[in-house]
Amino acid sequence: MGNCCSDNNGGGWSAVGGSHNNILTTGATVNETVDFFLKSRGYQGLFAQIELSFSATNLRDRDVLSKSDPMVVFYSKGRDGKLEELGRTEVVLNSLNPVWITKYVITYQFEVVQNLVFHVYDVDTQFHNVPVKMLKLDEQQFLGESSCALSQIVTKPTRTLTLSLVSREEFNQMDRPQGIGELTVHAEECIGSKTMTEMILRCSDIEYKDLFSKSDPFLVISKIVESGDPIPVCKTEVKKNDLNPTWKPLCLNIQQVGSKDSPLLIQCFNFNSNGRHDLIGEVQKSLGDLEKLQHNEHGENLFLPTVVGHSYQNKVLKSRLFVDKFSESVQNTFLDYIAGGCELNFMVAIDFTASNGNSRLPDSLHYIDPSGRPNAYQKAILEVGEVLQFYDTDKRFPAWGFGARPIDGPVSHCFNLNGSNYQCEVEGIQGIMTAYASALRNVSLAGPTLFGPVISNAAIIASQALASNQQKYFILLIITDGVITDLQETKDALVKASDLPLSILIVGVGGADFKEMEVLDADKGERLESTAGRIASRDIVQFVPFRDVQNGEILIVQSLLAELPLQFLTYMRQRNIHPQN
Amino acid sequence: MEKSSAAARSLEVTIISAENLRMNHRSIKKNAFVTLETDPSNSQSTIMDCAGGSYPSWNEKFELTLPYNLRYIRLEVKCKTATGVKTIGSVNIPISDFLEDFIPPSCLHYLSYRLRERDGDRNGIINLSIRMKGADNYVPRPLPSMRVQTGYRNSNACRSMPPTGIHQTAYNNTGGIAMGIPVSKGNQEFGVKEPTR
Repeated sequence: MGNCCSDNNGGGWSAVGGSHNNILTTGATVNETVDFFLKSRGYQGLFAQIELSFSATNLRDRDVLSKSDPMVVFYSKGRDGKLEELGRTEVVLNSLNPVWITKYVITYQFEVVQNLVFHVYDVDTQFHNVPVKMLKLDEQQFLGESSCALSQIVTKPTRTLTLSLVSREEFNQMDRPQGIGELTVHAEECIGSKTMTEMILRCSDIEYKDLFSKSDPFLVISKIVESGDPIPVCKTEVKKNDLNPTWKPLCLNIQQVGSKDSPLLIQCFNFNSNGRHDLIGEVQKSLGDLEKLQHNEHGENLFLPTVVGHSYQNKVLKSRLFVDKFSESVQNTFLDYIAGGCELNFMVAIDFTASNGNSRLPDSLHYIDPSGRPNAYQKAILEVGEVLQFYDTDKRFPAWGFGARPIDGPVSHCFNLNGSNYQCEVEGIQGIMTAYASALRNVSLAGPTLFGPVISNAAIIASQALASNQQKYFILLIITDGVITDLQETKDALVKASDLPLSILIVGVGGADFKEMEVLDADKGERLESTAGRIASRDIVQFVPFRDVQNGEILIVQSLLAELPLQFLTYMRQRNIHPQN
Repeated sequence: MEKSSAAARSLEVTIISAENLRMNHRSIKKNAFVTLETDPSNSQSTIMDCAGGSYPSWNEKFELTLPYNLRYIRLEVKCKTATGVKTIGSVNIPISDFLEDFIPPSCLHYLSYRLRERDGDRNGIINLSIRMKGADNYVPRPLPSMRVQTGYRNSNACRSMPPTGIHQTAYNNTGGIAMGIPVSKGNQEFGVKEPTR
């Protein structure tokens, strides 16, 4: 993504020039644009603004003459268990069933488990004139606390989660845990993140910038932040040798630019392969202005800031910017599907090839440390599973192994991790861990490393859900230590699986050279092609090497999961599938 | 293997779009269209795309009857130029790609194919969707890969069989493992390499 002019290299259906009213193709364009935006801003994956609101019932009455005056303080809990205060609600007077008005906007990230902790306090009358931010919490009476993960709220169909408040340990002897009320947290996705605008931009009479040919123009649209600096939001493709270019449709999320009235800087550059693109001209317009331009079919002259003496002057150019199409639509977001009951089903496949090393020896990748420190395989399962389990209601996960010889049998390239002959599913993340440990004791490591059978089995499960009309999306995590021997067969299986509600995460453990695996991850190269010339209809693979970087593993898992919501949305939008309810 | 009668089978094919079409190594400007044929006497074509350049889109739906012995559908992407209609590239789509796929033929299949020029050179990509009509009771042949899974111990504690499809067997019953991937099995017989007619 670093190259400012890389054309559609996404694995989805590349943007189709001049396509109008076409949901199938706009989906991919949106994803690429959004993706670019997120990456350019340092956000790796989907993020959505979520507004939290709070209410409570049956709080304890701590005041003598009146009822409690409650307030909620909410925290995020880091991986180290440390609480960081996010905000406080106002104090509701005299109520045991308060509904707080203060809302809190939080950024939802799919790839991280965002733990929230809520503390409810009774604020004494003497403090009622103190702003809530200034209140000293240890002077207030504690009414109870509760915690949850943000993903638990957003996966509820009503996006509302009711939590029982518990008291701190010192109160335990006096109060039964049930008796101290309930806190209800509601999450609402901000409308801005759902509204998409699609535009087709065109320029006329662009000036010559290249010596021997016509200019190679492209547009960069930036929003202007409070400090006055422009931040790039999206860009078009490069039109080679074109003085009257019409670019492919651009999609912008209202939230990306702030609002319809926020000023946007539209700059037209001449592409230079050395990366120093010359500015041809620029114009400043808000989305609302662009809509008017389209309505009036009027062109806007570009200008070029030029230095005259000590001051800047804007030289008005003959080149003009036109808006050929402007449309707004509210699109279903990832969270709409999730709240509509679409589940993400997690599946795991583990590499049992001999290259991992004898699992009884500490230098093996499969070595299970008696001290309980997880090995690389266990770490990958735990960290990916921790995030995904919230999106899978029955928490029954198919788990397989490959590349090993079961007791006096031939090498199997897909065996059930729990050893059962009929049932590949295990209960919960802990079930995967138990099945993994038991498989290690019962199979002998062999080879070669084949992915094809595992992918085909995952594809069968995904197709069964599809055939029975269930709205489900499947995620297969393959953890491997080596380069695959069946690269072409794997590609063939992946191409075929690209038509299914399935994404595949591949984690490479150990020190092998994983260059070949990068080929499977279509966002690093071309779309996958099978031997027969069939092409993957979208990118379904995400690969990361899971090296033992100190403190770095979390980020690795995040980058692995970050692309999932986009792959999910590409699938749903390509097929015009809407959320249930 | 076909359960439904040959006469009842018809296909709904939507030609969606194409990507990166080239002629003589240069991106085409306009006027691309697609012809579909099940046999030389039975062909239909899309309208010409004017706006999309080398990334044309059509979104045009066709109904094709599917003769019993048909093995592939042929698509040709053509372009009208000043000197006449030229073929950019073509592809033969094996019907096994949607008849013997993971998902039932009656579900919408989104398929993409590499176009090949007459001399076999790679050209752009074509995107289409296919759904089979009147195939509700069509039962596809079980894929070979459905026999892959085994347990690693010979357990008596069997749960009930999963509802459909997966015939998981103990390794000692299969006496071996099915390593082949079914994906390209059908395609290799009548894939795009077949000489153009």
